[in-house]
Amino acid sequence: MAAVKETVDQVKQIDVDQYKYGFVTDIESEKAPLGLNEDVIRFISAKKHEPEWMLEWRLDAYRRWLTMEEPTWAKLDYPKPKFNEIYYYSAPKVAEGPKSLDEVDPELLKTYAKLGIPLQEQEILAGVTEENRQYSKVAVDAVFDSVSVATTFKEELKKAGVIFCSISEAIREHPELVKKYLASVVPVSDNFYATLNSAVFTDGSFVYVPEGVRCPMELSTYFRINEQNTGQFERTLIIADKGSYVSYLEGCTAPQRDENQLHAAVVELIALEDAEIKYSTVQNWYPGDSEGKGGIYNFVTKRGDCREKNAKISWTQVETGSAITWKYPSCILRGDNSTGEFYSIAISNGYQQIDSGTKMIHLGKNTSSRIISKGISAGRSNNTYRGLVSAHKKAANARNFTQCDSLLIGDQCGAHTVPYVESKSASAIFEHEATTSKISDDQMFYCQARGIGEEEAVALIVNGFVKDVIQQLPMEFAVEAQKLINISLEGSVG
Amino acid sequence: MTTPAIKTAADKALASLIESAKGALPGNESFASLRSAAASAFEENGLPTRRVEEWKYSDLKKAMPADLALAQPVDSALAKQQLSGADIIKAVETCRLVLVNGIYSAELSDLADLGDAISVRSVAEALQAGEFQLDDPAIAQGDIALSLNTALLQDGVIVEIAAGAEIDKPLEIRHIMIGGGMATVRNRVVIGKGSKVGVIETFTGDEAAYQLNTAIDYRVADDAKLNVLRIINEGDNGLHLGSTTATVGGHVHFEHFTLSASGKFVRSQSFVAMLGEYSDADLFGASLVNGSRHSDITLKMDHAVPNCNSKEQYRTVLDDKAVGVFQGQIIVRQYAQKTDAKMMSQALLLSEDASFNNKPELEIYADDVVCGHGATCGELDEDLLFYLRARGISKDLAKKMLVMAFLAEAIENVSDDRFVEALEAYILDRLGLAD
Repeated sequence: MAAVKETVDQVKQIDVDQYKYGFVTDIESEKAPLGLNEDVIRFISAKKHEPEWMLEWRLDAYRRWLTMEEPTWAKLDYPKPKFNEIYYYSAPKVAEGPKSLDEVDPELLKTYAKLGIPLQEQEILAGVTEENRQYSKVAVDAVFDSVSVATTFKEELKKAGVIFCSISEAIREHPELVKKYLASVVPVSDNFYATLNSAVFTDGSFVYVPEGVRCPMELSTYFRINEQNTGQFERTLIIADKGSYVSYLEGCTAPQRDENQLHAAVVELIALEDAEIKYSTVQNWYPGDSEGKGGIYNFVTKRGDCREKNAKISWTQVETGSAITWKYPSCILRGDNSTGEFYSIAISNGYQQIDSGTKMIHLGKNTSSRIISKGISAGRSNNTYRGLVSAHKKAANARNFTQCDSLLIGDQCGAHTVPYVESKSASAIFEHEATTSKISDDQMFYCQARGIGEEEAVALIVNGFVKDVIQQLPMEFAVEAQKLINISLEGSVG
Repeated sequence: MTTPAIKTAADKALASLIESAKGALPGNESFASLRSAAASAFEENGLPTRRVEEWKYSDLKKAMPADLALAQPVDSALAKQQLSGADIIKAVETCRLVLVNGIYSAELSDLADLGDAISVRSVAEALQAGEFQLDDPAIAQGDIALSLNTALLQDGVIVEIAAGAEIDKPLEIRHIMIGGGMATVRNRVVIGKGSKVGVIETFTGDEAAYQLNTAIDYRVADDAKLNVLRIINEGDNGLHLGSTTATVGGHVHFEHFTLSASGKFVRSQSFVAMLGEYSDADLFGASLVNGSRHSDITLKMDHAVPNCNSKEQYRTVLDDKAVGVFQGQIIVRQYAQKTDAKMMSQALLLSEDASFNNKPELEIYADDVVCGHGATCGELDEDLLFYLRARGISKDLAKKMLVMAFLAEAIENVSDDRFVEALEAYILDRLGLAD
């Protein structure tokens, strides 16, 4: 279990109060002019060597965005980002596209080494024999600022017929797939941030798993925001064709900054007949300092579409970072018998504010969904679960079970639950339950009587509280997530 | 009337009604300024659209008709005749206060057994004398229905119950609408320290199209025990905007049951502020919604002090093309440690065309609390139906029995047996099960 040890070691390196990932890598970068206008969009599109139709698509999105207003309904309080003081494009200067890791800028590799995310994950995870490697490998499409600079495992995925590349590459190489599926789940004008993303997205991942293929490895992207004042606008598109399966891992850290950094990603998942997509996220962006200064603004639109029958989409997320989180990974259960799942741990400490949840929209017959949300608030943070479960008239026999539990640590924080349950189908059965409580004195006493220190006891109890969700994470993430939870809560008791 | 919020015919009609009624409504100068502030608030916002979060599921803009006029005074012979038909809680003997078309009628009221411990006064009279202050709890402030109520307030009753009084006969406040039109009522019930009382609010009306904006404000002093039963039995074309505000002192037991049984569009909202320690508030309700009716139960429970318990339990049965709404919010403020708050909303859908929207909310700022909510919706259990039918009970009757059983679970929480009896009698009658 080299991987586990590796992860544990990495996480151990993180100090109590310090966000060690807060360093800046000195790589020369190429920037678009400050601010946003049609010329900047043309610049981005040209930089990406995009075809004309893509530029038009972006410009159309930009024009729509100009007419939209920022949403204010979330329980979040923050200074509005100044959209004209952001660089919308910043690319690390790399020589012609590297064909292997050896060609990647050594500075960049060093950065990843510092982050504890070696690109050569295969060596860590390989185990002993070549045969085992097939199942334990993790392919990394590394995103450094906004451009994919290295893609590993391409060859092997190619053998399976899986397309895993940056979205820019997909636009050039697979325009038919992109045209067919891009914005088919999150329409261009879906919401303020999704529209902004449509206009200016600079990179992200594209996955296509062909009919009947079980993707031979977990696909993974490590995000890293670098370069001062650069918004990160990722666009991820994952298509699982009939009868296929793919598991996708997303994890992120960001350097320490004083200024707020805006992140507005869009993730679209499409599962066709009998296909299954599992999407896991561990998010640990810079949450701001002890006074709540700085930190990442995270406005994400994530939505999956179970487009045909028997499809399944599962979201799992561990949210520990960001100053502001606005994120609702959702499932549209269009196909009959399709299934949606949402497992979430959201931890807020310091002055963090989280408004997150999910939407399960039941349209097809016999659709089912399950929501397990665990929110933990500490410090002076506010943590809101906001979710929608709805059944359309034709969604006969729809089923939903929702459980959202909140744990409060300290009397300066807030935990809120705002579920919307809408049923237009008599045969739909929806169950929702929510609880809010603190760690009981009995639990603490039990642990402490056995010689467990206060902080450790809290960590132990919290880990028990979130167990249901941790179990859903792929092995590569589970250990890291568990450690992350402990770190996030450090300093919250006593 | 020129502001952009005044868009629809209903907005315009209401704005001009507010304008034209101004002179005729009671109140001294200082109340007039409150009225005009409420009127300008309306001018600014108009009727709420579905974009206003609190009104997301109840489109008042659409429900409010475009031809609005104040309800006309009713001749007392006609009122008396209607009054006998408006007796919907025959099972319980009460002292009765009657408001016809929003105006308090001492003549029609039955106060024979009132005794010395209760005093009654008309709101219009108190307004004229400058002796009626509006003082809504913080959570109710800014509410659109209450603001409209202030703008158009006509009358109501102020009931004061002396400290330590134990009132045997429940007090009934009966609202009757006759001949259509709009009426605006605000009642106040002041419960003295350590007193025990039951209050029944009933709402009935004829077939004419009418709009009743009614509010009641309960001021419950320390150590008191208050049981409230509220039966909304409006006419088929009646629009009911009902608001309950309650400020609850320490060591109080406050119990409130709402039965939403008829009316074309019903919104029954409650704002309860727990302001004294060691008090219990239990809010229960049952809604029977059929046809193309709309029934909305909205409540906000504000725990501002430590050591209080609250329990909310609501059941809704929907048939035909009915729409049901439940919005419940529990707020636990930072200092309200040791709060125990539980909320449950359950709905039964009997028809494919019925729909239900459920929004239970928790907003919690204190850590040492136990709070939870649950929400379910679904159809009748086939197994239960089969069980009954296998015993020779017709499908129709079996369904009704199961509906009754479903609602009974909310009713059995009520501690006053007389209220339980009245509720059961009403629902059995409504379901056609009364013998």
